Amino acid sequence: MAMTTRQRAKLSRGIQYAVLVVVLIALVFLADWNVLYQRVFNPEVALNQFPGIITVALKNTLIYTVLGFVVGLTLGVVLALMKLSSVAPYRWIATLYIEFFRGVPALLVFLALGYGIPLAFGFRFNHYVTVMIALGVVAAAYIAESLRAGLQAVPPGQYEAARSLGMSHTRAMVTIVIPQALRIVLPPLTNEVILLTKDSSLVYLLGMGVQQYELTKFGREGISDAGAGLTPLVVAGICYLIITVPLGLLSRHFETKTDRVKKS
Amino acid sequence: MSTSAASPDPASSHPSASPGADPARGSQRDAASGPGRSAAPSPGASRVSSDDAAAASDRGRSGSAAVHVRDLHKSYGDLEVLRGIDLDVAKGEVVCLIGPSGSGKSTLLRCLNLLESPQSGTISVGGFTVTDPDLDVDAMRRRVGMVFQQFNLFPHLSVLENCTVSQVKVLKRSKDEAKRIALANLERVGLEAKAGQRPTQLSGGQQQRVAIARALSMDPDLMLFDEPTSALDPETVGDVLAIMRQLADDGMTMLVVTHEMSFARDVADRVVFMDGGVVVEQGPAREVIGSPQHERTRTFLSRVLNPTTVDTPE
Repeated sequence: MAMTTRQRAKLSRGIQYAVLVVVLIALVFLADWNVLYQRVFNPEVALNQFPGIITVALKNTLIYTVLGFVVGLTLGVVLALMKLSSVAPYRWIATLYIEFFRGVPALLVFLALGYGIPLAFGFRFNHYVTVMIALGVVAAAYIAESLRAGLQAVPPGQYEAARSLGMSHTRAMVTIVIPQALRIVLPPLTNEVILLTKDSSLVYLLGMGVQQYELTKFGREGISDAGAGLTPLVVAGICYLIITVPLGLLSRHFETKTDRVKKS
Repeated sequence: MSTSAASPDPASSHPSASPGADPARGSQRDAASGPGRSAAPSPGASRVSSDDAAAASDRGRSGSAAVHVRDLHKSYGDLEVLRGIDLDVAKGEVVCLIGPSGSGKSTLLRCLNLLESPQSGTISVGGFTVTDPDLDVDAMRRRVGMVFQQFNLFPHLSVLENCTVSQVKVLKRSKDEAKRIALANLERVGLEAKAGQRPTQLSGGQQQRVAIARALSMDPDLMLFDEPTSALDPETVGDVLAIMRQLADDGMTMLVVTHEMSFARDVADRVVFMDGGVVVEQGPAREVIGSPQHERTRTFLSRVLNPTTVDTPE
C-alpha cells in the first residue's frame, strides 16, 4: 500500500491517540479506586499532616535550602574568580574542587559530615552547620561553573570599553562586567535553587529532633502511622512542587528576558 | 597582486624616521599638514617634562606631539602584525589610518592605549610614556577616548548613565556635574532626547554617537576611532561621520582607522597608508588619496574607490 508522507504522518498520529485512549480506559475500569483513595490520597490523613507539615517541615526545608544557597553562592563566587585567575595554582585548585564535588553523590557528602567525621574525629557540628556545609559545598561546585560561564559570556568589548574609560580592573568588573554576568546567570542560578530544595531531603539521613524535620523526614515519619498509607509522602511531594514549580517558571521568565536583550 | 607581497622599501616605510626631525612634519609632504588648527594647550602637556623621559630628551617636540610612536613591533605568536611602525600625531591634528584588512591599523590603534601590549618600541601619548612598565595605565586612558567598531555601550545602563558612570567612578565628579556634562555631550551628538533610553533601543548609528558622547564626557585630549562606521547600516554612516567632522573642526586630536575614503580626504589633515604591518606612505590627505606615490597605495585605493572595476594585469 503506497502512502504519501502526509498520510503516513496522519496514520501515526491516529495510532498514538488510540493507544492513549486504550490505556486510559483500562486504568479507569481496572484500577480499584476505592483502595487508591484510601491508601494513596486519603483527605483525612492529609488533613492530619497539618499544621506540622507547614510550620515545621516546609519551614525547615526552606531554611536548609537558603542556608545551603548562601554558602554555595559565597563559595561559588570565590571558586569562579579562582577559576578565572591569572595565577595557575588557583585555577588548578578550583578545577579540582569543582570536578570533585560535581563528581561525588551529595549523599556521600552528607554521610561524611553526619557520620564519618564524628566517628573519625569524635567531633560533631551543630545540626544546622552540618546541613549548611553539606548542601553548600556541593552547590558551590555547580554555582561556580554557572558564574564562570556567565562572566565569560559578557563580550570582551564591554571590559575593554570600561578600561578605555580609565576604570581599573576591579572597577570594570564590579560596575560593568559582573552586573551583566548576573543577568546571564539568573536562570541557571534559579535552577540551582530548585536542585538545592530537592537535595535538602538528604537531611533525612541525619539524626535530629522533631522540630528539625524537613518535608521528606516528616513524610517518612507520617507513613509509619497505622493506616496512613502513602498519603503523607504525597502531601510532602505537593509541598516540594509548591516551591519548585514557581521557581521553574521564574527561571523560564529570566531566560526569555535575557534572550530578548541579546536579540535586540 | 605582486606588489603587496614585496618587502617594504625601508626609506618609504619610515618617512619620518630621520633623527632630530620634528615628527609632526616627518616628511616633506607632511610640512603642509595641520593647517589652521589651533594646538590648544591641554592638561596633558604639563606632564610631558616630568613623566616622559623620551620627551625630555627630545626638546622642541613636547608642545605639539599628541602621539609619538617609534619602531613599534607586535606579534601574536609567529604572526608579526606590526613590523616597526613610526607614527606621529600633532595636537589638534586629524590623522586617518587606511589600508587593507589585516594591515595592522586596528592593532596599532589598540596599542596606543594598551588594549594590546606591544613587544618592542616606544609609544608616548599625551605626555605618557605608554611603553614604560611603571606607567599608570588608568591615568593615561582617562586622557584618551576610544570609539569601537561595535560601539560597546553598556547595555545594563541607560544612555545617560553610559556617559556618567566613568565620570563619577573614575573622575569622582558629583552626580549632578557628571549629568550636566553628559547631557551637553549628548546634545553635541544630537541625542539628548534619548538620555533615558537603553542603548538597545537605539539604532546602530545612534549607539555609535552615544559612544562618542561617552568618550567625550571624560574630556579626552585625544580620540581614537577604530573603524567607527564599519558595523553601521549605510544610511546611518553619514550621521556619525558628521559628528566626527564637527569634532575635528572643534580642534580635537583624532586618530581614525577607517575605510571611508571621502571622510579621510575631506576631514583628515594627514592620511597614513599601512600594509603588511608597516607604514607604506603618508602625507596630506588629498595628496595620498588623490595621487598616491606607491604602487601598493595605488592598488588599494583603486580597489576601494572603484570596487566594481575589474583588475587589469600590470
